Amino acid sequence: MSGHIVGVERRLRFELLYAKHAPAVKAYVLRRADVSTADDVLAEVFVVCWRRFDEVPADPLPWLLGVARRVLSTQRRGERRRGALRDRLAETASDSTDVTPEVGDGTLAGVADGAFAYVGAGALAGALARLSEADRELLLLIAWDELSPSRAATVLNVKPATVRVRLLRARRRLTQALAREESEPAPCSPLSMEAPS
Amino acid sequence: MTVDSMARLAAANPVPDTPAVEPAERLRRLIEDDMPPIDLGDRRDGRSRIRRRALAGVVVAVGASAAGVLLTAGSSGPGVNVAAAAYAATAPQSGIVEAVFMVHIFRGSQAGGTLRQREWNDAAAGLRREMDTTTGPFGDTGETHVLESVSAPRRWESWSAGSEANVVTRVKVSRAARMNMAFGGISLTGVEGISLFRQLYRLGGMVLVGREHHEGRLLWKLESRPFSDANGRMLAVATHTRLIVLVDPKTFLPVTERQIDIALPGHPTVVESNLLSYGRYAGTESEGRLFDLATQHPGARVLTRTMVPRFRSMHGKRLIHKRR
Repeated sequence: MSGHIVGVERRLRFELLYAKHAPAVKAYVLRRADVSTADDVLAEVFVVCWRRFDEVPADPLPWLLGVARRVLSTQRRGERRRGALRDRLAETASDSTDVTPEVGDGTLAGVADGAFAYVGAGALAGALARLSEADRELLLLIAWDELSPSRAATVLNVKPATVRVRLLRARRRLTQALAREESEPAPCSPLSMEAPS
Repeated sequence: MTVDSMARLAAANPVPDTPAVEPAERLRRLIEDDMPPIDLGDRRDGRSRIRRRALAGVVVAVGASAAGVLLTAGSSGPGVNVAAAAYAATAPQSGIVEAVFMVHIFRGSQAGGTLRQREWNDAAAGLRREMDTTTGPFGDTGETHVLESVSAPRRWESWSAGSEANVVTRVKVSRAARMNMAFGGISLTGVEGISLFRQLYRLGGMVLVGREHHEGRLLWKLESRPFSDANGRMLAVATHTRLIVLVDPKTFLPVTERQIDIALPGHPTVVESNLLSYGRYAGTESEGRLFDLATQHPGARVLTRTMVPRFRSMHGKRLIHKRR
């Protein structure tokens, strides 16, 4: 009976947590991946959340975003792995036992890379491209996901003090990169949207 | 100036408002259904299939409505919006799609090589099989290699001809590490190229620029390009490359996809993928064998491995995720 009550209480808590934070998690994913991926990643994040519900901290959003970051990274690695697989086949024609994919090797593959699709080819995109992946990811967490440095630190799994220092430097580098981009504007060639008659 | 740059970055936020999500009750039910431990293997999971079908249904519905709106509102010379029609023509549907592509590689380390790619996709069930036959220029010997791979819910397999041993490598993947490979990659070959076109289309980055003769046929020509939305935010998938898609005027299938390097003089083609055939047929349970490489290669030895995802805890401690 008590187990049943615990189960009901857990479900209620989970549903409240989902109702409160799922939109923000989905927005985080949509800023970095395409629409078709977002619902899949969101479901994945809350499956992890449900299974590790006892580990969810008092401020759950950064923790959830951290999970989303890992899920996205795993997906990106899957995409890259396929390209690498074909390259490797071409280079070595090695036996098939070598092609086992790896997951969860601790590195997060280009989570912020998808953001380029939305920023585009302007000075801002050029400036972002000049930054390191770590700088880009931190700046986007602050500017797009509106996290405080200490919450961003939870997402990135580093100390808040480290994030504050990195943020100062990343902002400076963004400003410098933006200035450099604007002094060298990229050419743009408009294309007709009309079909030929 | 620092504030300026951050403000500009914030203003470029592509999702300024929180989006709608599925009701929690439905997700909780899916999660609870997901909980019983199941020995991973070839067995398909019915619940997962239902969920995937539901998701595929949503994608189809969204695609169809988007296409419908654009077909009525965005039509130009050809009478229909060609990009929208191509998007609708390639929407995932129930049943199995079989497609064959011939890919020619013109630049890079594999320049001169060709790849014949045959694909079977059951989008609703999350099943995908790919057979790649690559020819030269490896060592200038013109050697041919065959690689087959299958991705399925919680299973990934590969088999390669030309290796010393006739082995099917089967990797069992836990749910948490589910590999989303079907229609998931971003490359310019085969169905994945169609996937790229669909992603670009959704971003509003594909435009009709004219027509082009290709192998005796006059096809509609679409190009990717940077695109700004109503708020002036720029969208562009690549700054150095451009995707050109030639669309069949009757079926609206993207029959040729070409990646060009716009950073080099003359905008040379990097890779070109030509659709040789594309068909749909109803899938049945027996079709599951189509997505099982051990069945396809009965003489092969099967090596099975299990992949468990690893997550780091908030405190940096590595955790091995265990199922209940």
